[in-house]
Amino acid sequence: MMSKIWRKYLVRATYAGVMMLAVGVGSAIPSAKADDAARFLGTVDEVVKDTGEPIRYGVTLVHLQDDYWKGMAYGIVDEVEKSGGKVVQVSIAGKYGNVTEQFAQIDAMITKGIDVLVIGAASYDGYDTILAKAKAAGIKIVAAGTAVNSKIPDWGVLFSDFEIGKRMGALLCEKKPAGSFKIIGLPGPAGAEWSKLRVDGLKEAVSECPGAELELAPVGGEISIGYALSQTSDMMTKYPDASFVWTPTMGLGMGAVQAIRQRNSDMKVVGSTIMRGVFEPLEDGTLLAVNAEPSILVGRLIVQYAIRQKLGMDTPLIQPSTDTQYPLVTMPTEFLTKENYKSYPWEQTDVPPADWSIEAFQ
Amino acid sequence: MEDRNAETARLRQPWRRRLKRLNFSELIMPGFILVYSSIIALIEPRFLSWGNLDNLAGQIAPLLVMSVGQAFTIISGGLDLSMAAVMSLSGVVGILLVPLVGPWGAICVMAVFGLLVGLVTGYIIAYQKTSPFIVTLGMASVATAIALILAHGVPIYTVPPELTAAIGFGHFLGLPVSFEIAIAMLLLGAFLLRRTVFGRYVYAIGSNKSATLRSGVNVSLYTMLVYGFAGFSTGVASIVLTSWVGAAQPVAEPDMTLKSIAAAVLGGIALNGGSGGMVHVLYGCIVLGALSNSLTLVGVSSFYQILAVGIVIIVAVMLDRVRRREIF
Repeated sequence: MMSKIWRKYLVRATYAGVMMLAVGVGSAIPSAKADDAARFLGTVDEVVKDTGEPIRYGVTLVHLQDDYWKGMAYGIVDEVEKSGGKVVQVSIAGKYGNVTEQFAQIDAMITKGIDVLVIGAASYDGYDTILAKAKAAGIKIVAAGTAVNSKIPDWGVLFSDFEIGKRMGALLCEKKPAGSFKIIGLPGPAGAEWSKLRVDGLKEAVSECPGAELELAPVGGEISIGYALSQTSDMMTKYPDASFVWTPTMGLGMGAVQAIRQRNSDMKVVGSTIMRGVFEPLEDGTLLAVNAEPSILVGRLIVQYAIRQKLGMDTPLIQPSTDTQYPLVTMPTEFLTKENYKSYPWEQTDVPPADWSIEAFQ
Repeated sequence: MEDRNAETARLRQPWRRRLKRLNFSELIMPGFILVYSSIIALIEPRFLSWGNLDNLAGQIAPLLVMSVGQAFTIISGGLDLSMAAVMSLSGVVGILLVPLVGPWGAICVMAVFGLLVGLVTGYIIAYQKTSPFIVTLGMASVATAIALILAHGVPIYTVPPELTAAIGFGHFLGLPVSFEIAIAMLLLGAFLLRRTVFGRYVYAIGSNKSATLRSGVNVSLYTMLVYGFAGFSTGVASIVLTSWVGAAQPVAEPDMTLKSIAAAVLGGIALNGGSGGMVHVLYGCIVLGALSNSLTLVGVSSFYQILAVGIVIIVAVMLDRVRRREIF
């Protein structure tokens, strides 16, 4: 147990150190290598280029309506531009649960001819048949951003949703007021595995935190600011003595921030995934912390490791996992707070350029 | 003869006319709201606290504004499935134009933009003789796509703080400004329906379109104006929503279109057109808003909340049939 905790802290410290080093190196040495190191934050020791017949990528993601998924698409497209290859198609399911949309998209990609399928699955289950078809066509399958319950993917690049929930809960415990305290939790959309895992992680952290009480709002059907605003307001009426509002994603967190501002309350929000709107509430203190999920880096690592596999090079970050039936690159995460957000390179790792749009590529 | 004259004289007094018109069926929805609120207040007394009623008023404001426009389309025998999408697009366009026109100019842009889109939709429906269902469904896709393109897919958080402070958070005479805007829209809707020729034609078109046409009414023009007014209400809803949430979202509250139809029908507006008024819109929005708010306060799981909303809508439609003496 102790060794696990130490390992966790070691990973975090290494990641933070690497990020600071990468930013420092990136700004000091104007060379191609420095640029490579900066955009990978030191997670890849040597950036390799695709040689020979270019790899053809087919990408299907859940949606492009937040910076998390948009960042991943940007990371893939931009890295392919820099390291070589060809993105044949980037498609979106539209929303969580639109499995049949993704089936049709994958079918079309198989017909068009791709070498690597990147799938940000809209649902945890139900992909075996279509992935088996892709596999039979000789396509490498990479799970990106959300886990898929199948043994067919060759590997994945994911965040540990349980750990994210648990870390956010632990942070609230660290920042708790004296005595007992309440956390209002917005559990996110019904049926989303990532959201459920984050809530499970939060529950575990709360159970380990003396004096902490968790009051979960009903599971919702939407990830919209207005929905979260209403839900937070209702929960604040019921639990006016709560100290914190926890949200699994900042899509909901921004609604919670707005509810707290409207009621002039001193509750604090903690959420996950960076978006452009988080810096103002971080600065005014409404947002205690936001958990960074560097999705641009996910996109870049997918491309880089696909090239490495093609060239027969080693892929040290891909490790066997007990969370999924396929090996994983488990992405590190980092809290952004009022104190550190200005030094975090979010524009390189989490949030794509404001004017970048998928139609610019397609 | 004398008795009849006395009765006629009595009915000339407006309040007596109204009292005579008021029957049991008109009391079903307000009665339901009172009984339901009382039960919830017994379980969770905070439901009727001023703080929660203030919260509830702010929450239902965007839906109320949108439902006013939706009610016009339903009374005229149509419906508008593009309202949430047009609301998102109006919000995005308005906020993107803030650097050019300023925050108060952006409000005008949102309202006028909604109106223009509504007029275009109405023109296609009325003059090209097309189905409102298909045209507004298509317009929803067009508006969503344009909003996504303009906003590059993600919410825009640069809503001027003046707007958020004045409309999103602001209070005037103790009530949320957003709710007051919604009530103003409701009164405007009531005035147009009850006190203008336009309103009478809306009912006539919804009751019997071909008879209205044969009466010499320019049905196409008035149908276009109905959708124009619905577009205007989506524009105003975008002002309220954008200020309330502090962001212009390219896909904002996609369920609100169906909720606005549900609110109108739930309140008592006939889905096949020709009857209903603004008071019914108010009832429907209060019921939908109070259901969600109260069930969260009581701690009911959202799965049961969805079930409760569904049952209430079905029961309300059945009550509507009772009211029209179509069953029992």
